[in-house]
Amino acid sequence: MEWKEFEENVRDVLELEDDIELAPELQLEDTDFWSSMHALLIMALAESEYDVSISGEDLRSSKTLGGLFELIKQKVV
Amino acid sequence: MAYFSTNNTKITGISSVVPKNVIDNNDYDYINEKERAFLIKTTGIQKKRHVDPGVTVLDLSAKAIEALLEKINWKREEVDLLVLVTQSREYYLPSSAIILHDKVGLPDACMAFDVGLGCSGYVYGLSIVNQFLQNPQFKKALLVAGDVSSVSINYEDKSTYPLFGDGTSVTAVEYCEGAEQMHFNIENNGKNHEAIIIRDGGAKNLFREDSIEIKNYGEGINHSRKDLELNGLDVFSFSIKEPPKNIKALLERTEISIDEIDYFVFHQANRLIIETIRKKLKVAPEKVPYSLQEYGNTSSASIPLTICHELKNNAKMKKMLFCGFGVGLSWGACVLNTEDIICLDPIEY
Repeated sequence: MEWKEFEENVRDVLELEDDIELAPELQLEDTDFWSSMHALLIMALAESEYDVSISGEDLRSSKTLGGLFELIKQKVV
Repeated sequence: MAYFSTNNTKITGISSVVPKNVIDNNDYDYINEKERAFLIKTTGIQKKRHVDPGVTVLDLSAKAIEALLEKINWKREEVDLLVLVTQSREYYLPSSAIILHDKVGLPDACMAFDVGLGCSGYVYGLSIVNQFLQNPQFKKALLVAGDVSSVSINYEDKSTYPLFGDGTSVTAVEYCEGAEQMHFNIENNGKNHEAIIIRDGGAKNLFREDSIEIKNYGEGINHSRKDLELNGLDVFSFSIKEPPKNIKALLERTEISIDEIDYFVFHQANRLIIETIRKKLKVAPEKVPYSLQEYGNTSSASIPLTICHELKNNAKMKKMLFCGFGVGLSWGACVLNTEDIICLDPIEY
């Protein structure tokens, strides 16, 4: 699992325009686009694309997009 | 694990009743237009139905029973069992099923009791009535499943208000020599029981003056302790993880392939959950009917309501899988073959 592929998948499921930069250090809570509904979309992405289950606690403790990437990457078999 | 199969029963008919009053999520002005559009797109829930004040699940259910009994030609004195799956009980006690039993004129000898389950309740309820019908003294059973959730959701709680609608259903199940087996896989886990909860009004936290005090629990989430509270992240995580595992295990156990199943009728929680489960199981979209766009999440009524809404003319002689999941946490699936099932169009109350 590579960052670039993950970033593209996130951009796709969150329907973000190309001019929104998605860097690993991006603090999700500080962005304009992030909401609880977006968190669910990331969970759904992890489950359907990577066959990885993320708990609510996992998601609450991952503050950055890079943190989410690492979390999913660790769980990918 | 609670795998089991039941013999010699069939679903004879299904009816469903929803209130006339349509609530359109496009009019949900507690959140801004952008958030509203995103919520409707992601959940798929455009409209839902709410009862008028004072109308209860028993009012809806009595209408559903009367319509179904007439259509399938069952006499009241033939009904041996009435099971009511609801979390919108009339009273703390007595059991609402017994009041419903009287309301529709069933004989004293017809057993009646409540089952206090929500979104998983239809599958649980089917398993219960089927278990009774394994006993040769029981021939005909009515499973009533539904909720009036609108009385428990707060307009200023965006995590619940746009999702839940009111509705109920009745499923007639009867003994049928030689009918194909129904297979069940039923699970639950109480560790996360606070993920979906109404905190006050039970014996642990009796209803008190401050039960109606509204507090803030995050942006756009305001409710009291008598209102439904839903931890979106935890419930979502559970809903996309456990049901697919349960279904895979059931199909493996029964040696039924995904391809053999004509329809997968999922509890109508929200579109994102159902689509994630569907993709995980690699099920074709045309095998997964929806009713949530019209009725929202109708709790234990959602599976039979979806059948009545979407599969009414296409439900006979089909292999179907039902899967319910939610409050408890509780979840389960069943696989069955329909025969000459009669499904009524959703009826308005």
